[in-house]
Amino acid sequence: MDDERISLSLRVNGATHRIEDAWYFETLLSVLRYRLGLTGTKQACETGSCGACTVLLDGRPINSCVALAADVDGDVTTIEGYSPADGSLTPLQEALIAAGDVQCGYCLPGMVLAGSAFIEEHPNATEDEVREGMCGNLCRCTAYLGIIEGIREASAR
Amino acid sequence: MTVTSTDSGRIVRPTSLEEAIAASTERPDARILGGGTLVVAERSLGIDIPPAYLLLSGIAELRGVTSDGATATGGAARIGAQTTLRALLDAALSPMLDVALRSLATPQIRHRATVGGNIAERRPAHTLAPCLLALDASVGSAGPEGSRRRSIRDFAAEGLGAGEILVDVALPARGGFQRFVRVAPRNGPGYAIASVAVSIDPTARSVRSGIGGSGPTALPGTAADDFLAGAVDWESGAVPAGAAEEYGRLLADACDPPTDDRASAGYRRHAIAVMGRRLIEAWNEEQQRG
Repeated sequence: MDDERISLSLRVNGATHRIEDAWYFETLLSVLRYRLGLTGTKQACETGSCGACTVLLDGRPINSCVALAADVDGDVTTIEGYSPADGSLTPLQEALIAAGDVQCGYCLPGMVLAGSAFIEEHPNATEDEVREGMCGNLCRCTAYLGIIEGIREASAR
Repeated sequence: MTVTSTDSGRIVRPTSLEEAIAASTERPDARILGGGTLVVAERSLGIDIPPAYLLLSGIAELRGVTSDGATATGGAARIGAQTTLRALLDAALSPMLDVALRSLATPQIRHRATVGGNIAERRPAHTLAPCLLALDASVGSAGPEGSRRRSIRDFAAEGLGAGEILVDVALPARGGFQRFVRVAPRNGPGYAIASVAVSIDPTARSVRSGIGGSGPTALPGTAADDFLAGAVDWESGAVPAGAAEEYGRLLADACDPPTDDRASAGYRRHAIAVMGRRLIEAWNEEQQRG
């Protein structure tokens, strides 16, 4: 077509995807949502500030909105890949539901993925550790207390 | 793994420093991208729409921290430009860097953003340069004219030349008191309005500081540092009365702060003076506690 298009391959949720006509400036977020249909990854600030677009790259949380798709080297896990295939929930997801302060839920896929990496590194986390460790995820409904409690609770399981 | 096709010249991903320098010279309109957390956000915001990107992520020699094994007590270290902020945090090189890295960005950003990206463009709001000034770091770079190593003071004043790539930051062995403080819109991560980093090595009888957010680039507090190094009784460690306040005043004198939508020049100058004074008071208290 023109030289603004590139081809690339991405490993997402265990499968390799070949993308033939991505824009050279296209973000990982854009490829996930609009080329692979993985709309669990949420689009919000697009500046790496809010965490709604958080995915795991080789197990580490990153903002997919400020990662160039052409610069992603590793295994990407989105909320679709994190959630058990049989429709059940992980202990973290159950703890977040039990703590239950969620209003719109738009931040939750990012919260869950960032939270999953956080609890791996912080078993039996204190509230302060959760507040600092989860500072990359904003909830504009300000339902923080339940989210913090859910993640703290999940870290103790 | 992402395999980018080579049929487009708009994504350039060299695997060696030599290739990167050649690519940067051939394609000066390509924006150099370390982790992308700033560069990609600036495209989203419409601030910078470059026709090509030069990715540094494929150059293994630019990644990682090596230290002499005594970092917690002030040993020397080399930090590759492509080291992520998270990897630098994990290296636990300095209590100053620990606070700076935890306050400058979120965990997600720290996993992608790089040390080189934080200092290469010498943006005054960026956090690492004041710390590196205080730690007396040097900066290695390589370009068409060859490689060079400069003090962070010279780098902060001059920046990179055309086609030049930032290679690494070297920290000399430095013990003693090392601390970073800032004023910011909130306690959470983000750019500081103004910041001060101070390192006092009683063994070397050396005081070094860096000031952030209060000039066109990060600034060294040379006059303040020289004053304090001359005022302290290094045998006993005693700080004369009024010396902390004078230190803060001299730091504020070294500033050239902007007035912008976040704070006035007067606020920034005042904040630098107060932070400078409190840091010296904190060192003094720490010594008295033993």
